[in-house]
Amino acid sequence: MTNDDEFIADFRRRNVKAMRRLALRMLIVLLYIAVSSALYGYAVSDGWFARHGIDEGLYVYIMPLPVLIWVMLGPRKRETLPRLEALPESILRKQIDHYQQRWCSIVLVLLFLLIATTLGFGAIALHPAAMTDFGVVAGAVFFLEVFLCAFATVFYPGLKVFDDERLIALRGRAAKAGFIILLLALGAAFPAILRHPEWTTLALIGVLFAGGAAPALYYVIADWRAGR
Amino acid sequence: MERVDLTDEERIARSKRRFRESMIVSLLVGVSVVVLTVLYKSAEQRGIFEQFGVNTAQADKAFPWFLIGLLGVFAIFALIRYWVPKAERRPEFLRKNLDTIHAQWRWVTLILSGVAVLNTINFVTKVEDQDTASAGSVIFMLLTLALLVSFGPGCISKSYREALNDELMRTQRAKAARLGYLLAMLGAAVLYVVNLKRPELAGSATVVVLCAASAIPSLYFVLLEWVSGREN
Repeated sequence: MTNDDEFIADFRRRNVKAMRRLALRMLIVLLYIAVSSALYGYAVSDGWFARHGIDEGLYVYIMPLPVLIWVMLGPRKRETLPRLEALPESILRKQIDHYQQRWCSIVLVLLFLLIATTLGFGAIALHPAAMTDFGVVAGAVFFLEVFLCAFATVFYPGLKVFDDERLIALRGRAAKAGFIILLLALGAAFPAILRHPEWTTLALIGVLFAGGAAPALYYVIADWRAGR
Repeated sequence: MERVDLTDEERIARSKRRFRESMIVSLLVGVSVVVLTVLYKSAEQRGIFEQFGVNTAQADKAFPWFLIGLLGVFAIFALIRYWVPKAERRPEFLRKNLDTIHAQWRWVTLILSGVAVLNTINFVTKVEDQDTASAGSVIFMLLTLALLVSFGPGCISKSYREALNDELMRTQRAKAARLGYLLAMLGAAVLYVVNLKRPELAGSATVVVLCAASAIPSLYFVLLEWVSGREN
């Protein structure tokens, strides 16, 4: 093994460890959200808040607090990975495929999250009575995921170090696909907006979902077909 | 009947002549549509329809369809009169004439953007009277413009797609599409908020978002072409 190969193997091993740690932390956060949301739902249906004279709306402000405290004061990463730009050119070239595959997996995960959130937020938006503070948080998460999908696929922020000709072309095509599908979706939603105002919110959620998901799906499929 | 003995240079010269002619005819049709609309509105205000026993409400519904019919007749005439012969649609021929074709499509994009913006302003300003026909025509025009920006004449024919598909063109179209995508995403998000706060404005806001997301990338694309030093 050359020095470069050893360096790459070590780098990847540490990278995988870091990713595992991140995934575990995300899982803990998701579990916390799921359990606390279930408790909240149970407490609301049981009238616990009303009995104790506590405002239900406070929940959405209190719930994220432990997560925020954990993120700010919690464990720091044990191994510091070198900055990508600082890697020697010979190593960086070998890493490009590896990182683009990893990026594609991230886009795929974002896409699944977006589908799940859209279903949840769509169900909340379908019943205006359910649009409480919790619904607003769900809406904020939905918007965040839509724009994350868009930026991860079309704008690829801050990772210009991995740009190669093929990736630039692929992102351009994904942007075109997203642009056309988003405008078609807006055009298709227009009759609903004009004639059935009660459907407008749901139609716009569909439009935003199409705008975020279409380029992401296109990017993942095109990357897969290109044989990464 | 097409002459088959024309040289490529003669065909190129004829193509340029036809394009100029088609632009002038389109301009005349556009001006006549505007004049007809102004005449119709002034006749309506002076009560001329009532004098001839015509129901104004029915005339209001029929007039946009009359204009669409007129434009349809013009489209059929243009298709017959300016139909590009098969010999001039070959990629080998198109490649000899690249700069001219790019310049022609730039003009088409610019003119269509201008018309789309005017059409949008017209639609948005008549809040009380947003009928299906005018909404459909605006949306159709804006979507056509978006297709034109993203794919150029390649969205119409395979031979154009083969010939007019150089690296520079693809990069610039991707840049324009990226800008359009960003504008459309931001516009859709703003539209969502507008719908929550002022639902009565959602219809007009949708058309404005569509117009911004189609017309601004078109102008950006033309600007990129101009900056990159394309001829004509």
